[in-house]
Amino acid sequence: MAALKNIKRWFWWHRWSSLVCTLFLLMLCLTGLPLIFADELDGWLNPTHYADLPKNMPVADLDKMLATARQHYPKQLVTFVVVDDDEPQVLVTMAPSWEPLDPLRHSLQFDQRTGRLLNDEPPAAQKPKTFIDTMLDLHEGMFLDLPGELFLGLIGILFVISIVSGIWLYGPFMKKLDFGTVRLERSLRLKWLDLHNLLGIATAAWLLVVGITGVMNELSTPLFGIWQMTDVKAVLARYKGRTYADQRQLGSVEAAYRAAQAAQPAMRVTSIVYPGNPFGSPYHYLCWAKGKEPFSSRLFSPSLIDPATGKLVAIVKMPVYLRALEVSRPLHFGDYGGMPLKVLWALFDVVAIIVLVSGVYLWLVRRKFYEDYFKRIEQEATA
Amino acid sequence: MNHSFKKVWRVPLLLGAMILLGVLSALLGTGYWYGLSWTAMIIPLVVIIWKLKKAKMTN
Repeated sequence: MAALKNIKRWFWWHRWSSLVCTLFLLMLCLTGLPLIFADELDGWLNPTHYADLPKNMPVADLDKMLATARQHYPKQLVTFVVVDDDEPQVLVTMAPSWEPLDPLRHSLQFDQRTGRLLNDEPPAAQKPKTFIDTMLDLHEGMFLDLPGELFLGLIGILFVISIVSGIWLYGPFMKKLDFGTVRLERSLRLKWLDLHNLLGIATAAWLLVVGITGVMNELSTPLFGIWQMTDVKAVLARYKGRTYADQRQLGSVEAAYRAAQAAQPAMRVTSIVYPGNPFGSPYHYLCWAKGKEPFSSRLFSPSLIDPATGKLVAIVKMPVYLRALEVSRPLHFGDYGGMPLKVLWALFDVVAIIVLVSGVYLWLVRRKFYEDYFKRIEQEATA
Repeated sequence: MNHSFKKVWRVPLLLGAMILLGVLSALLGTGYWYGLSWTAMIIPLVVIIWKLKKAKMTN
C-alpha cells in the first residue's frame, strides 16, 4: 500500500499544479500559435518595399543616416541604432529622454544599402498596435510588463511540475495497457483519459523543452539586470562620472561600427547602443555582434568602443546564464528550422491544447474517475 | 529493469528521443540536419494519429 500512497501523492501534485496553471497555459498556447508565424504575418500585414539592388551590398555611411535623423529631430536623443541582418534596413531610434519606455520614442527606417530615409515612424504611443504586438504582450506578461512576466514564469514552473508528475503517473497507469490504447466504447471518461495519456506522453519531451525555455525567457529582464549590476558594472567602474552633455560631442558612429566589426570578424554587428542609454554604457558605444552561422547567430557578443577615438576598449564576456537564455529563445519559438519546423511547432501546440482541455474535463468528472482509477491500482497491487 | 518497465516505457522513451533529436539537430546544423529534424519531429505526431485510427477501427 506504500506504492498506492506514493501514487496518490504524485496525483495530488499533478492535479493541483495543472489546475492552477491550465487557464494561463491555454492563453499561452492560443496566443503562441500566431506568434510562431510572427515574421510571416508581419511581413504580410505590414510589408516594406525595398529597392531592387544587388545582394551583399555594403552598409552605407551610418554617419550620414544619423545626420539625417538629427536634422529631423534636432532636440531629441539617439538611443540606439539597429543594422538589421534580416532585412536591408537601418533603424535609428530616438526619444526626448533616456526613459526606456518613453511614449514619444520612435524609429527612422533607412535603406541599409543607399542610406535613403524610407519611413519616419510615429511615436510608440501613437503607433497602432498590430495583431502580433497584442499577442506578444499577452503571451509575455498579459500587458503587465515585469510583474506579468514573473507571474507567467511561475505559471511555467507549475507547468513543468505538472508534466513531470504526469510522466510519473503514466507508468503505474499503463502497467496493464498497451501503448496508445484508446478505449472509445467504454465511457466518455475513459476515452478522454486514454487520449490525455497518449497525447501527453507522446509530446512530453516537447512540452518540457518549451515549458523550461519559456520560464527562462520570462526571466530575461532579471537575468540581464544581474549582469548589468555585476560584470558590466565592473567593466564600467573606471569610467564613472564621465558622461556627455551633448550627443553632438560624440565621435563618428560609422567608425565605431567598423571598429567593432573589425574586432570580431567572424561576427556581424547588429546594433549600437548610444552612450547614456540605461541599457548601455554612460561613456561608450555598446556594439552588439552575433555569429553568422545558424547556431552562433543565437549567441551575442557585446563590445565597447570609445566614441572619441573610435577604438575598441573591451569585448565583454557573456556569463553562462545569459548564454542559456540566448539558446532558450529559439528552442521556445521554434523559428530556427525553416517553415516545416514552424508548422510542426504549431501542430505540437494544438496537441498541447487538447491535453489541457482533456485534463480539465477529467477534473470536472473527477469523483467517478478517481474512484475507478485508485480501485484499479489497488486491485493490481493485490492481484 | 524488469519486463513491465520495458513494455510501458519503450515507445514513450523512443518518441521523447525523436523529439530531442529533432529539436537539437535543427539548432546545431543546417541542410540535411533540417531534414533530419523534421523527420524526427513528425514521428510522434504520426504515431498519435496512427493509434487514434487504430482505436477507431477496432471499435
